Amino acid sequence: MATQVIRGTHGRQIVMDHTGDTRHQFNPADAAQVKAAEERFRELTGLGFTAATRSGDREPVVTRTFDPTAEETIFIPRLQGG
Amino acid sequence: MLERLLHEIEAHLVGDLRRAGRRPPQALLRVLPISQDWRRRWFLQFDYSGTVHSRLVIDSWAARHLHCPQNLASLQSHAQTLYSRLYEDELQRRALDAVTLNFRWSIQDNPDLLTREAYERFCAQRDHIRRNHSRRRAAELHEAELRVCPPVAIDAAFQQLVVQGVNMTATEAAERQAMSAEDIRFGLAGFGAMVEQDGLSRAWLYGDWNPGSGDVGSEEARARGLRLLEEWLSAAQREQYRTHRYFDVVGSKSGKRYRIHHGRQQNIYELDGKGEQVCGWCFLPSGGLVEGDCMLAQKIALETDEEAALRVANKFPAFVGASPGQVALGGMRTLRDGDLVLVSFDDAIGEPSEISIGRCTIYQGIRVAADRDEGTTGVVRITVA
Repeated sequence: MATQVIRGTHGRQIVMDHTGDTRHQFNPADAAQVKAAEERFRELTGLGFTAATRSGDREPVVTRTFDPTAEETIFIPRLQGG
Repeated sequence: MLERLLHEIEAHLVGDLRRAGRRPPQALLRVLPISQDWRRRWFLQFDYSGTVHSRLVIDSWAARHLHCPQNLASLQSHAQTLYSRLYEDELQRRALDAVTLNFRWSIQDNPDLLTREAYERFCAQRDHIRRNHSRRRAAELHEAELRVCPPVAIDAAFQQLVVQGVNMTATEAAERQAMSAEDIRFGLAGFGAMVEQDGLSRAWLYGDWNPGSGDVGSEEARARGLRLLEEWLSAAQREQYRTHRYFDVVGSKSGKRYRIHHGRQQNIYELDGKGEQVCGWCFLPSGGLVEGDCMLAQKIALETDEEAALRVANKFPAFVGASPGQVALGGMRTLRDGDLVLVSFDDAIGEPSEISIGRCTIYQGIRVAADRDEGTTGVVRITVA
């Protein structure tokens, strides 16, 4: 039986940290998972993280609101001068 | 990293000494320049007296480090000194073992002998050994002074522009400058450019000296960070990064081009229309993130909110050889009038009148612009005749 690869069925949140990054996946069709992802989004942006989303090969876009349809959201800690 | 290499060498020397058994080689004659074995692994060969040889496999970072003749020479000198010390320690240990054993036998075999007398003899022998040992060690150290590079950042703090080439944030650099009484040593030559005078003037440029600006994190974390970066780079940026270890981004507001070099900090350069550096910008995400994460954060910040990123960033002047990886990979711009280059001279014989940078270009009329430490290291300002 042929295996069908389904892309984009899960959203992914990537949080930059000292281990490189930590990834969280959620199913946009699952209300509980979406809620948890949204809470994570609010918590991190509240802590000063910048959230940027990307879909496919398009350029990243900074977002201030949670988008459950975004394929990938990356959370970047607050920037500081070197 | 350098310390790790030195520890590996020390462990290797100790291992050789132990493997030699009762008659270890008296001297480490030389450490041959690095070579590659059939598996293409880099190694150092240690030649001892009595035609004893051994090999130490080193990693590619260490190999790169030792391609600099000065560093190799300092390591060879260090290894020889270290071996002498270890050898002396071994001799002392054996001599002390022998007199201790002798003392025990004296008591065992001569029950009538006053223990005190035997003990005094033992103490005298022990002190004699220790005294001689200390003298020999001191002499060795005097002859072959340890020439291990200290962390370059500490030593390079004397000169504002030189500091740009070191793995420090601008804030750290300012702090270090405040304590810049420290002299500079040859070790700093590697991170920017090194010019060595030997009559005809030779030069090496080492841009890929440090693997990254102020590396942090475990190997795994760093690899993970770089994977994430590659996932988020555009195809063109990914290609550019793989080839040159830098990639260009376009500022979201000004449309200016910025070049992000591999590293964590002091790795962003604003470019002009000709692709030459105008100035450097230093900003990074908080939290001590690995270089892959830092570069990705810098890319996203410049591409999405350039203004905010530059508001928090510190600006620094462009400097020749400023960024690790920049020189070796051909990204360095042509030297111009007024450029400052970090130099290291073999001997303190006057000032150079002519120095070649790279392979073919001769710059004349160079004068030493600033500090020199016993005539061996300093900064020259390039004056093109």
